[in-house]
Amino acid sequence: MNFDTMTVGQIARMVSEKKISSGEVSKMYFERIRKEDKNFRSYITVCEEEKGEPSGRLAGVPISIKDNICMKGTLTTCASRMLEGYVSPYNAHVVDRLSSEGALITGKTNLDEFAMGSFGDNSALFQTKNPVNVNYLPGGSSSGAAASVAGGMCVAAIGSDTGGSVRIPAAFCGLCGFKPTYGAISRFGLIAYASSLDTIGIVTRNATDAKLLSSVLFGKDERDMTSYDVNIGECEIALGDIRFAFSDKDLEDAETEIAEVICRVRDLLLRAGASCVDKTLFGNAKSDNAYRVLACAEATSNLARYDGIRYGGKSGLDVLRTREELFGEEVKRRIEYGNFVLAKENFEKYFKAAADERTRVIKETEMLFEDVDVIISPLCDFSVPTYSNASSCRADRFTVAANFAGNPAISITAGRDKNNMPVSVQLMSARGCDAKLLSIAEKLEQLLLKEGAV
Amino acid sequence: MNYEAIIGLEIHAELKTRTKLFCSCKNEFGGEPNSRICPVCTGQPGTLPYVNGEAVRLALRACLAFGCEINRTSKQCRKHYFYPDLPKGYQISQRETPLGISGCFEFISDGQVKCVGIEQIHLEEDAGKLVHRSDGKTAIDYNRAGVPLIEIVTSPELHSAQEVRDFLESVRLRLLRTGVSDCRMEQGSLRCDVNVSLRRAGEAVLNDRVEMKNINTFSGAARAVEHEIERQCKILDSGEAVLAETRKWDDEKRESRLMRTKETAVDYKFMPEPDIPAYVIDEKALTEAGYDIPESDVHRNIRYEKAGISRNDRERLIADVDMSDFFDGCISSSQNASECAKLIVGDVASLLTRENVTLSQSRLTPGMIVEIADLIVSGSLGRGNAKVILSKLLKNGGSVANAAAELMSIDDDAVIEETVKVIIADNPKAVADYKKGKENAVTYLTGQCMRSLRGRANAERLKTILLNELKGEN
Ligand SMILES: [Zn+2]
Repeated sequence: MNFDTMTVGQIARMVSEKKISSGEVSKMYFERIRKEDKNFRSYITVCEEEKGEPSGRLAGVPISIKDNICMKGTLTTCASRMLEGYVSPYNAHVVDRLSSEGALITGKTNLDEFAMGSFGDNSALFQTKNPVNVNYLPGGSSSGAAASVAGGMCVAAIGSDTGGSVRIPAAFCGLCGFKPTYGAISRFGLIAYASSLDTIGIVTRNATDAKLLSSVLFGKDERDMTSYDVNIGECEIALGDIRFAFSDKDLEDAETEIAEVICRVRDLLLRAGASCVDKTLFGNAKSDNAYRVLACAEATSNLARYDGIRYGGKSGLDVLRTREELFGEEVKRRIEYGNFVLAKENFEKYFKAAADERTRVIKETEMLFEDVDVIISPLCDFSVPTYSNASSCRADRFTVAANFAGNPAISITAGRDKNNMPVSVQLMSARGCDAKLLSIAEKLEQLLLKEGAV
Repeated sequence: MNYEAIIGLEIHAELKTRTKLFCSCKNEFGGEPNSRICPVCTGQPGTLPYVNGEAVRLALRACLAFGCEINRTSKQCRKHYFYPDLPKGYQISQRETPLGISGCFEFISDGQVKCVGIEQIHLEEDAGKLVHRSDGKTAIDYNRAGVPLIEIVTSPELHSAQEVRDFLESVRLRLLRTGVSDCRMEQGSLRCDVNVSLRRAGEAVLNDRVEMKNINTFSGAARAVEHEIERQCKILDSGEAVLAETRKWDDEKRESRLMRTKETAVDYKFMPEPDIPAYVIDEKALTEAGYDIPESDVHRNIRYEKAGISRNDRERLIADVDMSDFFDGCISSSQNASECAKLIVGDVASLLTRENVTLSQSRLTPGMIVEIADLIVSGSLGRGNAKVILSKLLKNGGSVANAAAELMSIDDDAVIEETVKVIIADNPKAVADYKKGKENAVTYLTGQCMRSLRGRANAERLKTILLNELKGEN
């Protein structure tokens, strides 16, 4: 078994064709985790237990779950000391769906505390390493999700994406990160950070796997009133037939190597016969600020339940002291800002203005997608940072837009930089056009592979 | 100095749904602490609310019953505060776009119809309860957490403790009659906060208002209002100003305590609820919620008045939902509605109390009351006997005629025949009417016979003998 290249599709096929039993797969992967995870530290909890011979479309396929997603009887920490020792009494929707298709859930992966962070350096528990090169950051907030796949300790990971939290670590670890349309996958059981932005996301080796998992996870769930049925059936579209938006403005601050990779993607698409318009949605300071206002306001609200009575109560402290001591600095910063924008005297100026801006951006985005199938942009305009140079960078410049407007977006590896670290391109499409987006991403991956770009 | 009191109310009523507002736990009262909880209503991380359509329907029904305009797009919001019985750190409530606004409610106080504006009615969830244990520790019972509530906010248009009491009683009856809430005061399913402010009689300027919390009974509300008016009068008389503040009413000690001033007021940091899409209220939803809303009590009072029911009987009937519904079954088929009313609020009510049963548990039917009232009015049944018959019917059911017969039992046909002959002789006009085919002549003659026999004959037997005699007249 080649752990470094194994995909969801391959394992599912091998198991269904009885070339290998799911028990054998399970044994090999848990052994792999035991051997490798001490280097990468992607898992908070490993869930090794004997199960019968499962059946379903994902029979025996090892998949990890981000530790802000609930699994009955299992620790769910959000990588926060606030939830240390908390055992969830129920399964998240995605866990139910995966289990019903026979997936092997390997364990719960590390993250930036309460999914707040872009680099994967903000877990209150321990630091996850980038399996591509441990000197580089893994990306966040779904750091353990990406590391568990990149390290060959599962073949896919379920994460969450509120502003890039699945796409960024996938990109940093050389994988495919897919953030579906808001509402396509039920959030039931995903511990909320910013409810109107939070999206269940998928980390895989390629877009084909992302499509396969989407077909299992998509669909309206009555337990999440914001969920609805988004089509994930076959969508055949040739690269030559697509029309995409691309703007040099998005490359103005980009490192040269990044710009080169992204321009090559554009050129390959044009050569394949696709047409291009010069438009972009990114880099609008006003809407980026509005995103932050809403994200922090909702975070403040969602994290209000951690008052030291039901969770984090073992400290024996009062509400304020509990929160002061058990929340990390970044979490507290966001709560503080959220409190500020929700205060009666600030609500109109900040929250209401941000909500209005969001309405405007959604319209603008819809209009753009009346004209084009996808927007092509860098996923991130600098190369994967090391531990020392992360703080100066803003990793979510190209990723928050999809969350703000609720659109699907995917990151795929498009090249390598001089340090052999992955460079990724982001494709974003109209709400509900997830099938089309995945199909385009799949074909682009194949084209890049054929051209020897990756 | 003379002051006018300006009083507004915020009334919380638990909705009579099968399950809680956002989960499938049962909406019931009592039982073991924390026996009706789940991850959703205890706000466990990762859970989301899913709205109970029955609660929205009942809340809409309340809006319609109180004459509100309906916000066709209505949104839940989050109201934040820390309290141990509030599991999420916020209450899911409504603020900017409640289900109903700008209603008005007519009620009767001191024999007068009065009208109070309803500023809004909104849908929200209840919190849990703190249980102070004998060992000095405090425990939390989340059984009530997530129970659906409506909050009815009135305009400040009430002026006295008595008016507050009458208004609350009328609201209770409206909620009961529409089936929105079962209004069990002792279970806390109807609670209210009171806002009181005073102004000099004849002046337009209002002083700051004081909010009184923790009021659990209507008499408590009246006492709290009275006490607060007195307190504010004293302050104003001494030349000081009344401060805007929130006070906690202690009904046992008959006193209020300062909870917080304007300066220490909580900022609830209201925010739209992102997990619940806005409700879009269409015609169908409105029809479903309101097509069968019963008439208002003011209207009912007019209807009863027209039927000749005395004020006292009207008030007693209207104050009891079961009785007035039962009475409505009589009024449609009786010529003697006021006698029916008298029977119901008098004999029936006292018998029910004696037997400790409700009307629906008893075997009485409106038809029985109509028959008995007719017998009384026609003079063929005395009131004392009527009560004996009612008592039998209440327990055993059966027909009025049989019950009456059992009571009287003159078994000697000769005695009856003798009486019948006398009555026929005394009433030539009725006999003539009978011969012309007027059926009610028989009823009249039967009544006269019964009267003569002091109601002690078997009605069936009497009728047979009477008819025989009448036929013999030919
Ligand atoms: Zn529940």
